[in-house]
Amino acid sequence: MGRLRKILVANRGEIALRVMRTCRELGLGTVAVYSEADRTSPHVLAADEAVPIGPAPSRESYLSIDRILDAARATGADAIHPGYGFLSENPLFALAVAEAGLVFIGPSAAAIRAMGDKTAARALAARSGVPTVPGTPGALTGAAEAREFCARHGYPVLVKAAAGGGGKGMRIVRESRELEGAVRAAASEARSAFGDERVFLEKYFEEPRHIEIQILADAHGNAVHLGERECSIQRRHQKVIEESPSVVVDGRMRQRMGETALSIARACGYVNAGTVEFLVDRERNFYFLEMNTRLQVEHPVTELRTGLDLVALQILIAGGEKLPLRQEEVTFSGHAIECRICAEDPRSNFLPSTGKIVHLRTPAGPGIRDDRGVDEGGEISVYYDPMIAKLIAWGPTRESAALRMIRALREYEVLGVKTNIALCLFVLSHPLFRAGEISTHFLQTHWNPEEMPGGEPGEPEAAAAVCALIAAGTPAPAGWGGGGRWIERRRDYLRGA
Amino acid sequence: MRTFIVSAGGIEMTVRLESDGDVTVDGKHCSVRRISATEFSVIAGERQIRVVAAAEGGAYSVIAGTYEGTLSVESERDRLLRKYGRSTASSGTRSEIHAPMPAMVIRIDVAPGDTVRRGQPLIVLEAMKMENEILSPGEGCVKEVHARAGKSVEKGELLISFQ
Repeated sequence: MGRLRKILVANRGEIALRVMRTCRELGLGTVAVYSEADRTSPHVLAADEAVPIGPAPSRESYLSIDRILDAARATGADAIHPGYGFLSENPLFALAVAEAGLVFIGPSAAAIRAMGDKTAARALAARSGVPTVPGTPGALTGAAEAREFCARHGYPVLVKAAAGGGGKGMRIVRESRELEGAVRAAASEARSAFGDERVFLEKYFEEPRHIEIQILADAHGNAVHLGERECSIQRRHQKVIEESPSVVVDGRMRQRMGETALSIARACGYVNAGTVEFLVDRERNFYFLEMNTRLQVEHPVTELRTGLDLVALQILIAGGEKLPLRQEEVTFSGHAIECRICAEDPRSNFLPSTGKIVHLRTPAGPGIRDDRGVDEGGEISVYYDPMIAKLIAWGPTRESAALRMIRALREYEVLGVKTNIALCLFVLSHPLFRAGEISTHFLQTHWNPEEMPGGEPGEPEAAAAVCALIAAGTPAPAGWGGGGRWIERRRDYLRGA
Repeated sequence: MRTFIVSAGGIEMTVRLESDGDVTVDGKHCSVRRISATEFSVIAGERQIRVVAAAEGGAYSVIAGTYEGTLSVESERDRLLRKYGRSTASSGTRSEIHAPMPAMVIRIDVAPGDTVRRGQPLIVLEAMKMENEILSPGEGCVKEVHARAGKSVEKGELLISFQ
């Protein structure tokens, strides 16, 4: 690991734990930082040293650059891992860490900045010859320009407000005769919503897939890609289920997407781990969306398929060492699926569910990994994101991984907060998911809370029996105590015989 | 033996606690063993179902095999008292007393011509091994007693009418 000895993890929850686990394996010291709400959280209990950095609201703790740097200085940490979220994609943080004479385990502030501005990033991609979602270069100048764009790229197209957001001033156009009316309607809607009637056109994809490429680049000019992850199962642009490989990506497409991702990384002088996101249409054309300049939530999917430890490689690269493998040495095995288990209620429009976890049992057994940041007795609070865990299943084939995930989801028991486990089971059991026929519209098209499984025959009755026993305050005999009764019956049985 | 009405998503089940973890749900027997504070094993027929449950705001959060739900529990006694309470309250202005449930008439405390106060005991019914005293919903004069001690009555049957 070169010169790194002690690493401060500027994060909380499962990702802080995950980073610390690798540090332990590498013999590196670990420093946790924590807010007042997290004094006894698992990431604090797992660390060698722990430093309080402020009150529960993240703005005053996990987002405080000064307090985190103070903690690093106080403990003598020589590097900072930002995890994901919080300060991980803040160029000012990367810069401040470097200026404090510490190592930032991630890309340079310049690379974060270059990719942080999404339109600038797309322009950079386009300059590097990377396909982006086709669109008019700026606001529409007239009907002729709109007709020409549609003739070149085909229908459907999307009319979008230049000042837009939240779906306002947006129209899908499927035929040429709808075009001019839709542009007028969108412009007038945009004028009343944003006081700006400028609109532009973009190619619209009916059933797009979200497929991303993991890359690693060192400071010596070496870079590899680690294949793709498909993250099409999303709810309101939040990924719920990720997998690798994608059913639509074959060896040639993987190579083309990988090389494209690496060309974007090279164009912005990228060093460390990063992810290039693409939109893929039904004809398997891919278009650059954005680059995430950090470790992704769903990175374990890639780890299970490649056998690599991405955090270990991040630390190695940040320590100035060379990538220990070349592209042809990256090998893939089997299929991995990840489910994000979140404290939210699928029956009430996915409202976050806060509270104390009063019962927790997690799955184990072959091919299962549970990256979790909260234990039984822990609290899901309003201050941080409601993810309880990431459950990852590996199998030699997609079908075996799916069956294993269903088995593991059924072993997962959480009481005290509502979870989206039923939603995950719904997707994994859906015939279209199993056939690989998914898109980012999958959940909005197919999910219906009315169709949530109501249990198999006998199960509601078993639940009722237990509730009545608890309510009666005369709990059932413990497994041991039951022995007496068993002997009595046995005697009856012998006598009867 | 205690009896509970358990509601789960609009479905009601009658649970009788026999003894030592022997339970019937709607007449079907099952054996329940406690594993820990929140974990149970239920065997019904040959089927073994793992159940975890925890109290949550007056109800119970439960996972039973593939079933997940929030269940509420009411003892049969509380249920009867609640129904009975409602029936007396709603009959406050009526001039007749009807049986709130199928029951056996145990005792009649009034006779025709008696003047009664609000809250005065009128008749005692027995149902499901519990006695329920029916109180007068208001002031009035008893016109006729239709019920007879020792006889059973159906739900809704006229017991006493007032002038």
